[in-house]
Amino acid sequence: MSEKHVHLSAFEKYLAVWVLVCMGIGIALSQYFPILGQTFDAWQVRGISVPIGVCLFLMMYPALLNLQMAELKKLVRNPKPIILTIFSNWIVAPLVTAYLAKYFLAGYEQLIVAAILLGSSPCTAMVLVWGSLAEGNQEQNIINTSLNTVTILVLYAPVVALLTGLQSIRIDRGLLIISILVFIGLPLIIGYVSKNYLLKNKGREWFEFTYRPAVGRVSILALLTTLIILFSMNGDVLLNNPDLMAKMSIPLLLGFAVVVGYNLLVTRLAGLAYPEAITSVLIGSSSHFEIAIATAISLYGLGSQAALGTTMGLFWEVPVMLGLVYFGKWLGKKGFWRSTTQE
Amino acid sequence: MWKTILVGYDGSEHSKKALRKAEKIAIQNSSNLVVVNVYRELVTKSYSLSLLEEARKFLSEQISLETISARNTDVDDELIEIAREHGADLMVVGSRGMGEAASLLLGGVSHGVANNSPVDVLIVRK
Repeated sequence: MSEKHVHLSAFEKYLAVWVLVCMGIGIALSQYFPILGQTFDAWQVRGISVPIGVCLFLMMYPALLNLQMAELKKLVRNPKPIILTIFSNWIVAPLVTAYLAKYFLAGYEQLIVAAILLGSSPCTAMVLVWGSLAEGNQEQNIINTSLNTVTILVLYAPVVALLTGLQSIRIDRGLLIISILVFIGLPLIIGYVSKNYLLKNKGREWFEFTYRPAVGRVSILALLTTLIILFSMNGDVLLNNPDLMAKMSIPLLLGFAVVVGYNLLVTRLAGLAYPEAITSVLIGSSSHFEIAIATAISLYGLGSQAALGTTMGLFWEVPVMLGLVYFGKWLGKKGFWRSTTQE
Repeated sequence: MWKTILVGYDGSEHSKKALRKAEKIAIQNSSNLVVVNVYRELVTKSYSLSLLEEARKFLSEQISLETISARNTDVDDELIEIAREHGADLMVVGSRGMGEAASLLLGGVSHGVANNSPVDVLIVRK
């Protein structure tokens, strides 16, 4: 069976371009139709923006259909790579990001929080794309992303609360927990129930080849809509502070380099073979920008620096992770890790 | 008449019909058969492989068979590209009988393949 027949979609390939386009549309709207942004902002329930809430749910839902509880039982067969990933996702990456954010973003409290939100959230969706391109162990990938979905529900709020607390940044912890429950917990339950119902009543073939791709397309539209709404609210902030996004990018990119370096080292020292190693590196270095954006909006509002800051995670996702895929493949060919044929 | 036949298979009833038809033609013409499953979402990969295994067991052992699992959000393009790579001179696909609008959202493969394929196409009706 050939692995070369794995293609990125136009959306996945040009995600950075899409972000720029949405930025442009949003900023134009903020200047020429400011009433739109004000309308979006006014429509709230207990501090949660309704249009953004709907968009974020639609963004999250497809990834949560991927949760395969039965697969988690396979963890016991080969726990080593997954343990390494969990340590990277929940200890190394959050600490490194928080430290670099404090150093480079001093005085910009909301941007520090944005960085912590990005650094503390392991990816549960796009990493499947990267893993496939890198020809990693896809079974391990699915198990790990299923596990990440569950651990985010339990660990995200405490880790973010701890890291912000250590820097004496006060955030509404109640709202943080509500955000996780609304943007991860609710789609998770609905995803689980709907998946079981549809599999039973419509069959697996319909679910995999009709339903999943359809919700995937809706999810992309929801993400682009969220970006346009976000930038329509933040146009003035961006235009008055063009250096903010560059400032935000520095600790994100540096943090990424450190965490990748760490993961390359530990996977080699742990003696993993290439497919398991590259999967661990990719997951261990990834970021869940959707939950970061959602939480930033809940904590600080649509028109906040924090919300804008989290979009930098989205902007850099594709070039950085694609670069890591190709770098990892090159290292694999050079024998950095053992190949599967070696013992 | 046809040396290599490519058939798209996704486990549905209409694609099973297409598979049976392709098998008959392959036996009659002593053709090679290439069975392809194209999936859009990455998590569907293991299901894709299991479908191809199911197809393999279903088909007669006297056929020269290759199975390919491919990921592409553009299913038509992928089938056509694989057909080109393998020198297929006939493509066989099933038709769900959806209209154009439904096909746009839910993915109707036979329209795109029929319009864009450089080789003969057999669309097997419901």
